[in-house]
Amino acid sequence: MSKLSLVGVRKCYGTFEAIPSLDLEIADGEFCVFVGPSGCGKSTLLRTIVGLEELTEGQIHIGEREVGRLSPGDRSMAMVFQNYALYPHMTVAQNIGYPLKLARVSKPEIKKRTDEVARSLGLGALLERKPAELSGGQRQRVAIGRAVIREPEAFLFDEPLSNLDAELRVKMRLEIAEMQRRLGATTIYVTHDQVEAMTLADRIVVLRDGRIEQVGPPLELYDNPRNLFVARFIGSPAMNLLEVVPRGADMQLPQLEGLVVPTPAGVTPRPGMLLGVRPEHLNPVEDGGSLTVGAVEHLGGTSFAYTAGSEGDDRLCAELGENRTVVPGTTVRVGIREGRYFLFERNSGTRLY
Amino acid sequence: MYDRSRDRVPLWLRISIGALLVIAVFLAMLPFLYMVSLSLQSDADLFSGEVVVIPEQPQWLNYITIWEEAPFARFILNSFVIAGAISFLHVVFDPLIGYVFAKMQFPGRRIMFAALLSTLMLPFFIRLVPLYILTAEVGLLNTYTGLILPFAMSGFGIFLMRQFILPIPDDLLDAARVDGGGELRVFWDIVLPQLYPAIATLALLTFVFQFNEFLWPLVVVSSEQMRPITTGLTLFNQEYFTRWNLTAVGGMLMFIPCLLLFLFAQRFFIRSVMLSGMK
Repeated sequence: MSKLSLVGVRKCYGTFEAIPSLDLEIADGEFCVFVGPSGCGKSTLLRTIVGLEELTEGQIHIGEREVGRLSPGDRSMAMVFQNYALYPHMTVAQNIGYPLKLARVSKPEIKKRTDEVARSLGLGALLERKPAELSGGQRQRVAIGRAVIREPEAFLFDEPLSNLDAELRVKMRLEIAEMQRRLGATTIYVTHDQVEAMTLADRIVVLRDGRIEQVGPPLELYDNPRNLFVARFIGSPAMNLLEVVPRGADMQLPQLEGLVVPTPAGVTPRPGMLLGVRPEHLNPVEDGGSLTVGAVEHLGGTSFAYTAGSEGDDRLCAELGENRTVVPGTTVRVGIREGRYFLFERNSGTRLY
Repeated sequence: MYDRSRDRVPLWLRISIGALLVIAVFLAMLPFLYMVSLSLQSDADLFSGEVVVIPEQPQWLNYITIWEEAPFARFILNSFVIAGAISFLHVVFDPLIGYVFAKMQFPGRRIMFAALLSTLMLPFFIRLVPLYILTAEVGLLNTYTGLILPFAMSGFGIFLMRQFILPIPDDLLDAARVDGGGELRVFWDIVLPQLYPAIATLALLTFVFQFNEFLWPLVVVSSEQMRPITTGLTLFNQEYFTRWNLTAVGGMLMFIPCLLLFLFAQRFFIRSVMLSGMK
C-alpha cells in the first residue's frame, strides 16, 4: 500500500470547471471518505483519480509514482462501483479472477488466489454461480473480491452501499471497515450518506461544487465545523440553525421564545447571524425557551422532539433524553448547554464562534 | 371488477378466425406450392397451354437435369462464398462500429451516425449506378471482391448492434478498464459475449438476404463462372421460351440451405427478439 497525493488536480468539461484546482494527501493505509450532496463533484473526483475521467491539470501520485496520465488499468488502483458492475456472463470465480486474467497470471495461480479471496469473503460455495443468481450483499462481496485480488495500492469505492437495504447496509459497512483494517489498504470511499462517512472514515473530506470545504477526522468535523455548510451537512439529526436577534450584548432567539444567550467574547451580535446547536445540546430545562412540539421520535435510549413545520431546514430538534412524557402539541422549555453552540454568518457561511 | 367472461371468445368467432388464418396461410404459401409443382413438371406440361396444378407424371429427373444443363454446383458455391463472406464481414465489423457509436464520445459522432442512418433510408437503386462505376473503375467486375466488398458493412447491421450495445451499463466497461483492460479487450471480453444472440440474428438475416440478392450480381457479373444461383437461374430464361420447371428446381435448391440455416439459428433468433423486447 502507498500514500496517495493529489497536487493541483483540476477537471473541466469544456468551459465548465467541475473540480477547481485541489490538493489532498491521503496517508498510507488511511480510510478517507469523500462526502457531499449530489452534484458536489465527489464521484467526478474519484473517477479522475482512477483514470476514468481525463485529468485536465495537475498530478496524481501513488507512492512515488506519478499516475495522472496513465490508463486506469496501469494505476494500481481497484474500484468498487455503485451497482457492483459484475460481468453478467461470467461466474463468480471468473469475475473475481478477471483482473488477474488481464494481468496474464497463470491459470493455476488465478484459481488459487480466487479461492483464497472467495473464502475470505464467504463466497466459497458460490464460485460457479452467475451474478444474476446472487443477492445484493453477495454481489457486493464479489465486487469487493474482484478489487482485492489484484492487491492494488489503493481501493476506491463509489457509493457501494446505496443499492442495499438498511439492514444489509449496516452489515456491509462493518465488513468493509473490517476488511480495510485487515488489509491496511489506502482507501477512498465516496458517499452522500454522512452516517457512513462518520462511521467508516479515518478522515472525511467534505466537498461542495468540487471544492474541499473541510478535511479532518469525523469527530473534528462534528465538533468543530469550519463553516455553515459543513455544520449543516455533518450530524444526524442535523444541527439546528436559529435566527439571532441582537439585544444589547446578548442574543435573542425568536424561534425559542424566551431564550436569551450571552454573546461570546470577541463577537458583536448583529443581524444576519445564525446560531447552530446540535440536538443533543438542546435539552429540556426549567427556565428555557419554549418549543412547541410537532412530533416526537422515541428511539428507546433517547427521544427527539421536533417542532411542527413543513420545511425540513426550519424544523428544530431537541433531544429529550430519557424524558418520554412529551407528546405532540405540548410545549417544552429547552435550553442550550453552556458554550455548546456555534455562530455563523448567514450569507457567507463563515463561522464566527 | 375485472370481468373475466369478456376474455372468452365465443366458439363461432374462434372457428371463423381459425378459418381465416388457414386461408391466409394458404394464400401466402400458394406461390411456393406452385413452385414445387412447377419443379416437377415436364416441358410438355409447361407448353400445354393450361395451368397444371398437380403434374400427372412428376418429373423427379428435373432435379438431376439441372446439374447437367448449367454449372449449377458452381452457382451454389458462388452463392455460399458471397453470402458467407459478407455475413462474416458483418459479424466482424458491425459490432465494432456499433460499439464505437454506442459508447464512445468523439467529435462528429452525431453527424456520422446521421449519415449512416441515411444510408438506411436510401433505396439501393439510387446507390446502384455510382457503386457500379466505382466497382468498374477499380477493376472489380466479375470478381468475388466486387460482389462482396460493397456489402462488407451495412447501416442496418451497425444500427442493430448499436441498439443492443447501448443498454450495457457504462460501469461494466469502466470496471473492465480499471481491472486493466484496453478498449479492444473490453469489447472482446465484456461487450461481445452479451451480443451473441444479436450477432447470430445479424448473421442469419445477412446470409439469407445476400443469398437471395439478385440485382447487384446481375449488374457486376457477366461471366457465367462467377454467377450466384439467383442470376444463374436466368440461364434458363432463353430467347424464345423460359424453362420454368428448371428455374423452379433452382428455386427449391436455393430455398433448402436458407431453411436449414433458419431452423438451426432459430433459437438465437427468437432469443434476440425476446431480449430486444425486454429492454
